[in-house]
Amino acid sequence: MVTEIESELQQFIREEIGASRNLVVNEDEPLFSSGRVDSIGLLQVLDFIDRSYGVNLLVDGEPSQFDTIRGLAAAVRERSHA
Amino acid sequence: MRQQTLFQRVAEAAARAPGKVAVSGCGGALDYRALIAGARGIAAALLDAGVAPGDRVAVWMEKSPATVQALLGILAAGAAYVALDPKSPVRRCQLICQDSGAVALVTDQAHAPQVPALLSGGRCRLVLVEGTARPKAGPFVRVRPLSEARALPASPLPDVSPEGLAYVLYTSGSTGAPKGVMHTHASGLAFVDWVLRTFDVSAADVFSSHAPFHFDLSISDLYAALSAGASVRLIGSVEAMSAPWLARKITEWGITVWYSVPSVLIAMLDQGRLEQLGMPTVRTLFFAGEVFPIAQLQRLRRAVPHADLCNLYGPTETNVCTWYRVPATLPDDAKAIPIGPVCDHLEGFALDDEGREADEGTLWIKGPNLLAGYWGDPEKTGATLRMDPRGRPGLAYCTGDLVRRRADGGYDYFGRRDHQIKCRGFRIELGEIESVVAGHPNVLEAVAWAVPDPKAGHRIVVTVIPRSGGPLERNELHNVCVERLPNYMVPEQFEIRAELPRTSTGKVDRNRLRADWEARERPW
Repeated sequence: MVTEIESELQQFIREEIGASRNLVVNEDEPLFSSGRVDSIGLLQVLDFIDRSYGVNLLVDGEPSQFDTIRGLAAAVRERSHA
Repeated sequence: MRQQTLFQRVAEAAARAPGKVAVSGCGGALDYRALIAGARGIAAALLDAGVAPGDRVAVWMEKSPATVQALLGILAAGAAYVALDPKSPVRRCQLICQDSGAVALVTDQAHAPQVPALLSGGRCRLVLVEGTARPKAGPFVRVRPLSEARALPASPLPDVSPEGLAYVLYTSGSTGAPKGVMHTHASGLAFVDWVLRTFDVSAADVFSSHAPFHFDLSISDLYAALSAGASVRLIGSVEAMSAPWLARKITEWGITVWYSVPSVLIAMLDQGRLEQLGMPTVRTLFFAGEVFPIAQLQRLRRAVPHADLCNLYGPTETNVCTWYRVPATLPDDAKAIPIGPVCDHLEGFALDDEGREADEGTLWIKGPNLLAGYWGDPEKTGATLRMDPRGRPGLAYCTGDLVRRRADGGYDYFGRRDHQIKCRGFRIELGEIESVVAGHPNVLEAVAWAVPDPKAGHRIVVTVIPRSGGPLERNELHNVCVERLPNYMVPEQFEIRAELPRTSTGKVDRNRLRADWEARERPW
């Protein structure tokens, strides 16, 4: 299932982080373990999630969920429903 | 008598406490018994495929306990491992695989689809794969599940000489291709034994394993810990990037010996509230790989007042060769952190431009830690590993680092002789980046240079002169780099110019490039 969160994350990564290099990733492709996005990019993504959904994964996230758009979106949903 | 190979040392520790957790993290945990049993099975599979002592075996896996088991299995078979960066583009890994002449590969599910590309042009005849993937590796390559190999009964192991090759660590090379630094069991153990006795490592310790296995920091993390019967807590690549999470976990995992590049510690100070959390379980904290900015080090010193903070210095070629223990309080006017005295089992000296021993000059190192040479490059080996230029017996290695002797007998580091830089702890030869960019058909000339950055160490800019008439987009230059270089070597910016500034001797004036750039813009 691809929800709004997945699409927004995809758009942010494409337009903000990978703007200079046509970075297009699907929901299940590894972002960070593959080296496509570096540690500064990870912070930008987590900051975007904090600003957009009010979920601070930096504080209570699990890195095992950070590597894909699907994992990040699931982490946001788990925490915003709690 | 002590056993003299890396595998034998770990096997000895396993015999003392087979049920103890040896390696955990990254989705798994193995006690010493299972670690060794699986490694013996992997060794049996390698030996069955004709792998012989001295052969190279590539490992292309995300970090996990199974990866550590694979490294030990390769060592047990008497072969040398070549750990490939799981995050590097396949083209760079393929170059390394081919250059090393790897005869076997151990890989995982995530990398399986790229195995055919990795092995093209190489000599590999066996692929062991974790998980269910079965890559089509070619007509003469046998593909077996890693789980099946692990379960094989142990077969007799070949005699392995302490002087036999144990691992080859590929680092950035100035001529454009990565170069393989060769270490033997003896050179690896000379360093490991120094760690064990200098820092009183015991079975009660829990070591972090933050560095990836193709990075020399991993040698202490794995072999100092496992030969002492201690536990190793693996930190995966995404976990390693998540500084605030990491800052909390260090205590939860009970880490007693932490080892990483300074930028990770700085990130934990900046984003991870390390000053509030402290690191109550850590007794010894090593950092290496780049210069620790003094203001950040002051913060770290205050955050972990109880722990021994040690700056370990040494290129991959020497393992660690000098070290400095940070005092309990750093003077407020401290300018830079020393690299300290030479380790007690090694010898070091500085030579000036005329080749005379001096208080200031290029640092040379002698002793049992030294590399055996560069893989497949006797010329480079001969040029860097030389008879002691002072006329005394023995080989000496020229680090290329400029040092100044201190009143306390240690050294201060103050720069490089060449175009090598450090970026988040990674060693980068700017020449390798230049040759990749110059490979673009519309590039006439490319010059890579670095802008110092207080947190990352350096950031890389490439100035490019296009061929006349050829269109050139920054985007394309970036893509060329992404395809061929690991992420940490991809330049942050490209600058296209009509011509390059030159010094009076005709050399590219890098200082001028930097000054022009800084006058114009500083985007970060």
